[in-house]
Amino acid sequence: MVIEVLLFAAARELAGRDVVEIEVGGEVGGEGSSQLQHGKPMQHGKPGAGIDASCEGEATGNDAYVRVSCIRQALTQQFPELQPLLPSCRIAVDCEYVGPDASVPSGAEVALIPPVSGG
Amino acid sequence: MVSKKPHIELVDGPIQLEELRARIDHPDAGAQGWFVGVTRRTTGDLITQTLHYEAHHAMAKTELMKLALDAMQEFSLLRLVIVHRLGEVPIADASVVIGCSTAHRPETFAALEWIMNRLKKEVPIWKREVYSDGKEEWVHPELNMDPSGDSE
Repeated sequence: MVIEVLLFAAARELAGRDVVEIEVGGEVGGEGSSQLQHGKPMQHGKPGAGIDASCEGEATGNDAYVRVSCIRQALTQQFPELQPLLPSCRIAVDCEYVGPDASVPSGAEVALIPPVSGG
Repeated sequence: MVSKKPHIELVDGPIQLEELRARIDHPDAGAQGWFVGVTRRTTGDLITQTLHYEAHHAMAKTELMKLALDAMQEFSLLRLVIVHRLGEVPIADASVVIGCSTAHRPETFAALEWIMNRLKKEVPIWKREVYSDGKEEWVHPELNMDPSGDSE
């Protein structure tokens, strides 16, 4: 599915825009909102441990979810200019930080959060 | 002891400290404390001309409210105010103001430090330094782009 990712601070500057669209494979399930509640719908490798083949799957339908780790992988592949910053960034979905195994429903607001420096 | 919801605000202009003052008044309070983070001119050998702050607005407010509610509980706060300024903040101006009141002073002292520490780790707000030599950079602490590691 296509996911829009909001960019901030140095990430926005590296990409030259404040939102990017990425094509993300490896959609999981389509059985409604229960997927998001589970938090860990699937076990798989460590984040950043090379290419995750399970992210390469075909799209399965309109009502699908993608894993956060697959969003990361797609960002790395489709926007290599973000690479220096990506490993230290967190991902937020609908204003909440999420881990690599969380499922993201289509239409959710996804944001790439570089190390913060408020105060 | 009835505590109100914390007051959370992101502002684009100068923070009006005087107007916030009464927000932490409470008849059961024995201590009121304020922390004011101001923009500093020097970072090591670098001279800062000005600072710009940017936020993921909706998420910053959500995260600030989360940490504020945790602090209210953890330190038995009677009142709490957190205001962060965004956009350009000239040197020596306040970029963040935190005020709280508690029955006794130890909780006020502890809460201000705890809130600032967590704000600097969790709240999606970023600062960009504009140095006097014209160089500009985003401060992303874990990338060691900030030589001091701490700029409030």
